[in-house]
Amino acid sequence: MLAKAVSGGLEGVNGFLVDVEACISNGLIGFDVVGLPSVAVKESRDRIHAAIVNSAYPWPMKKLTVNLAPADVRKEGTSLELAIAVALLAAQKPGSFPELTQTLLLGELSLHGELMPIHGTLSMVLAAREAGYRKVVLPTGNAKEVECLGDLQVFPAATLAQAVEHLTGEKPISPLSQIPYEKLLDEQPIENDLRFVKGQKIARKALEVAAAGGHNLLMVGVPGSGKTMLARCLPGILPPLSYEEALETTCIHSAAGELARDAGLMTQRPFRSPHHNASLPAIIGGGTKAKPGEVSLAHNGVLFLDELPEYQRQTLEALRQPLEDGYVNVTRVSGQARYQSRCMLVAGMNPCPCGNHGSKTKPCRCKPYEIQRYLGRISGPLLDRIDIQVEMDAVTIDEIEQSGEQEDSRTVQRRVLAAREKQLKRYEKEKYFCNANLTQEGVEKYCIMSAEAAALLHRATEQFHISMRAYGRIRKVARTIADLSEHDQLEVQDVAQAIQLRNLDGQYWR
Amino acid sequence: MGYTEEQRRLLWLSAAEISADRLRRLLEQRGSACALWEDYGKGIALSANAEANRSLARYHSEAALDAICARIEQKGVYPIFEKDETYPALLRCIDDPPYVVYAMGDVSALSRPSVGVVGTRYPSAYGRNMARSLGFGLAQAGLCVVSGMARGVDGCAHEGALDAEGATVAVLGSGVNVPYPFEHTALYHRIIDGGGAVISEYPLDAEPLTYHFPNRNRVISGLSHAVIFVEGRIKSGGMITVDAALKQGRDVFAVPGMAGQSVAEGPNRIIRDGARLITSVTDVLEDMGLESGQDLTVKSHLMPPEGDNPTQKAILQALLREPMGMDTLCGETGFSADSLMTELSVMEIMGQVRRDSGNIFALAIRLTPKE
Repeated sequence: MLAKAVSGGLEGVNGFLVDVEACISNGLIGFDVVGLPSVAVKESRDRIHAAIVNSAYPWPMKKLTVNLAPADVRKEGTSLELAIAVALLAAQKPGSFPELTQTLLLGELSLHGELMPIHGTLSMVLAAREAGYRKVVLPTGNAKEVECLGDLQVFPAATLAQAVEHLTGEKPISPLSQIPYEKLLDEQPIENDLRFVKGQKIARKALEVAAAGGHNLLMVGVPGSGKTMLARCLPGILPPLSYEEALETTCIHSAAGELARDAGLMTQRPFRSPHHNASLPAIIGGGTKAKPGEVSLAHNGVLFLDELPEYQRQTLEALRQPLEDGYVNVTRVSGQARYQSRCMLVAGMNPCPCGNHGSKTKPCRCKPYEIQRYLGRISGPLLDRIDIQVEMDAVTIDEIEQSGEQEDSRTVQRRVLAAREKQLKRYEKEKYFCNANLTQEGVEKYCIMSAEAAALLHRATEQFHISMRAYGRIRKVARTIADLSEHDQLEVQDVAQAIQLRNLDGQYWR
Repeated sequence: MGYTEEQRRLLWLSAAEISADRLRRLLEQRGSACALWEDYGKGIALSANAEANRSLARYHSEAALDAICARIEQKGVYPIFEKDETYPALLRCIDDPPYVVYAMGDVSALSRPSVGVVGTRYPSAYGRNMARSLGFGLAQAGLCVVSGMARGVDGCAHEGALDAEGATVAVLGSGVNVPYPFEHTALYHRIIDGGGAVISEYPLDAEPLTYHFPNRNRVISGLSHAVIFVEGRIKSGGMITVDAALKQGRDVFAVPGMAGQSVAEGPNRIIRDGARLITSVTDVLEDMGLESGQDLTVKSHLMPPEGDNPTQKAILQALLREPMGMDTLCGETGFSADSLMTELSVMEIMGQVRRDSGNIFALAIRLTPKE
């Protein structure tokens, strides 16, 4: 009276397979789950009992033992319930579930016997596919998440009964038709279009260059000058998510429970804007269960930090490593996880505590030392990781009304794509793939300036007291501008524009 | 340097920051500083202020006075007393002249005919340019530029005068040995070493306390034949200086600003109230009855150098009218934002254009007519 089913668990954002063995034997009546189950899994027993009874299946009055293998890995969450229930039923009638060991079973049960959606479906299904499984039964609520996986048969079930009837072959569920990823991508509307951003020509340019080279961006401007609006436009001008990127990003969001019910694969680059009172674990990742933080949720997308100086200093400092390395290691007593965090940082801030410094119409009442202290909250090392730093234009209503037709996001995106392709080609043999990640050596190798451009930059460093580090950053940004305007060598205009996009050092941080 | 006994007693009173006003009343009662010293020795209080009393007590010994004198000597400071011949004649005419001013640098600058240039610590690019070019022009015409070495307009006026290798006087709200604000330390040394003077009525190492500044402003206007208000709000230090200048019977000039701009409130208000409107040094010199040495009008400096491209010419043309942001500039010149950004960057590096906060571009008034 033994049966085995296959289900999945989550470790960080990665799925792993769990063998669920059920044994019905004579002995003291009871129901035990062994194999390092967490509290949530122990609670599952009551739900499973109720679900089986309420689905009109018999509940054996014997000693029931369920083992979860591998037994040395802690099992969190409720994804195992369907598998446990099915294994218990199969153990009662050996042989009636023909394909049980070749099918991945995922899902939480309600007392009614309904299948409830779970977190991390995609990660677990991918792990199963890796291991050679081709059939999956999962809650209908999670079906859309896995509709782009190609060579996989997905059977969405709404209730325990449906799942059981499918597995016994009484009433097979028709498999979900898989759609190609490109088709999902086509249906994509752009939520925030650059067309609606009035004025701000310099900041627009900065945004385009940031997107084209993968540079981090800082915008300084009075409240209401459009920093947030511009930042929201960034995902729309970045290259569309590739299939692999979409899988990575969806896995993280699914595991973190951030995916909406019935949501499919993520095709939009994520845009995360945590509030400035967010704690360090919330941004970097952590908590008792070592969950992914905002920087990982923004993986392949944009992390927007508005009011940058208001964030806790240690939070900002902790951001440096994930931004540099593209991943973050979160270690807790309960476990350790590595989350990817390859995202673009876009930051917004006011020029002074009251926000009106430099405004045309409102007076600034901040004392110079208050402004210094405000700016000083952002450390030099963090600023060094932000290639592009621009000030927002102070625009009046008149100017906004006068400004004519603006370029839309699609047009800008086309230029960004072309520039990105050039970079991919150029950096084929390198470890990096975009200008933002150029090493010191790479700058010397790939950012060759024409004689006039070099002379201009030299003069600018003297005039604006540009530091050596900023000098390197300007060359990187100029490389991206050259890619956008299809120059092989950095010309005068590329360097001149790059200087415009990095001119706050002299003004704010001396 | 030897001091008379009376002078030593005045240094004692100054060390305790007894105000000019207070001392004047005390002298009316007791006659001389020596008498006050003796009275104090007998236990007669001179001030109601506890802090001042503490200082009076601390320095009420010949040894302490010797130490003060030694420090003055060591730092190369000249104390100028009201009775001295070298005391600026104009300053002596005001209601409450400081009984002693400490000076560093070239003291002869104090006896030159002078004009005060004052304004906000946070000027626009326009304000900065005006202060600089006024400082430059006034110094070139042989006038001494008096200001307060504060951030913004004050600093620009001093710099302009120094660029013209002319005389300038900075009246500090701290002791002459305490450069304030800190970031103007370089400017402070430039003034002292470059033919200007730094003066203060406060003792050598006095802190820049807030109440010093309104007091200091009366000295700026007191030293000057005329005061020019460049930019500032209605409630500002500049307005205090203007009020003091009016009380002292000095000429007041104002540089007009754009209506509605907060820093232009002050000058525009006093123009409405009858101050002379000036747009260049020529106006000032004319109104003061002096000959202008050379044409200092904005335009003659700013024509683009030969061989510049049409984009640069168009930018200069547009900015000659008024400072503007990128959007307006695009509309005015008809060039794309990309090419404008390129040229503006080049022009900024070459010192032809300035970028103010909020990305407002303005012509940089070049101080040297020919490079």
